[in-house]
Amino acid sequence: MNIEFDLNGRVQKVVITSVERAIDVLTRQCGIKSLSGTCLEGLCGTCLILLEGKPVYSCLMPAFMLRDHRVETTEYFTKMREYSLLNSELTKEGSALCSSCHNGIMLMGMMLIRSVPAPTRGEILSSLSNVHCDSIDPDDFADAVLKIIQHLGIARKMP
Amino acid sequence: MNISEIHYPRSLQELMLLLEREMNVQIVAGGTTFGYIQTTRYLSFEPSIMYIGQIPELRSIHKTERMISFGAACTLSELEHVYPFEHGQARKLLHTIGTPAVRNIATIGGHLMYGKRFLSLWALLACFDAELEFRAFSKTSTKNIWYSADEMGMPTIESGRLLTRIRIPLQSIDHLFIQRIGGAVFPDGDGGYLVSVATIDRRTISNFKLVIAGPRAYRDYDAEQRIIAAPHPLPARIMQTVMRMYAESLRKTNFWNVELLLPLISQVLEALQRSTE
Repeated sequence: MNIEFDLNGRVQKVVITSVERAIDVLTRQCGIKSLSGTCLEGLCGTCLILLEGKPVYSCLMPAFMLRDHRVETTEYFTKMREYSLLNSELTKEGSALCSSCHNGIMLMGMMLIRSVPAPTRGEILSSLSNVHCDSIDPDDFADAVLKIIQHLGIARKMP
Repeated sequence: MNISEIHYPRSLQELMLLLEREMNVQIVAGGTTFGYIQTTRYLSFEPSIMYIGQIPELRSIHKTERMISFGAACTLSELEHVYPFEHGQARKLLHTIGTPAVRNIATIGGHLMYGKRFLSLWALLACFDAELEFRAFSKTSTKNIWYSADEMGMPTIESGRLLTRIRIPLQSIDHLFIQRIGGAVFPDGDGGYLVSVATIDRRTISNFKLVIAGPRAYRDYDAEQRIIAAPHPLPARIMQTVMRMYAESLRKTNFWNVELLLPLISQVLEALQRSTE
């Protein structure tokens, strides 16, 4: 059947069947390259997307649940200033993101920076529990996110 | 690989009409019954799927002076800041379910209608006297959550009825005890939760419940009644009587590990003694 949903700010039309998972439709039909998702159990966190602004595992979702929803993937954020700031801040903090967790970490970071008005350290660490990767120090991630939010706050106040 | 027909009802009325017409239906809102369980690349459903995640009546949360009511398709994340989950310990229990990304999609309806066993929140909601509203084509019925367990304490789900809302009477919580027991809870482990709730009013225990739920559910009404209306703190003789009642009823079920649970129930009563109005 044909369904429509908002993908990264654009209306996306796809043909789906009941057996397909959201991750498969997003990667095969919509050209999304940031998702891998090999576990199909929501355990690896490499298939994270934002559904109506909230993180969900696209490997656990049937594709038919995408209909009429707003979906964002890491691709949506890559050209934003905050994205490059976060990326460089994480590198500075010494957390070289491994390829498998890169999508999830950056997506969680961008969600916190853009959508949560003033995330607490606890909220930042909690968001990281969606990404099951040992290669990043949670404190480094929290420091980076908080630093960017602070930096952007100062930047917004300046004329 | 069987392809199912997918329906997207936009209202409860439309859903009821579709359920009346279609055979072999699978209701889908979140993903509790298949998300973690089906690990093959392609998913499998009944021939007809009703996706109810976009029905406004099933997504709303209402609160009055006496009661809170939430739709069965509310996600577990949406319940984080409402009664009773606004209470620290209850929220901690909610947070034991998956990760935020799982709770953003899993629904309370799917959680309660799992059917194979009682999942993490069941014992808590039973302690809070949750009422479940079911809808069939021509009628609506409400029953206490406790009646979704049969005489043997096994989960029962009546076919042909749809869980639409969960209603919880608001009450003051003076004592809340939550203890995980056994191993894993989901999808089919032997773990569960022991939960106890009490209200103390003018040095009298006006409400007390203790529920254990995992593969089966357990509750001793007589022991609870022995505590309700008793003075707080409980006199030693009532404590001893109640412990004896729990020991006897647990042994009768021939299912629960009495040696493990009796010390926990004793801890519950000690915590109740320390509680304040």
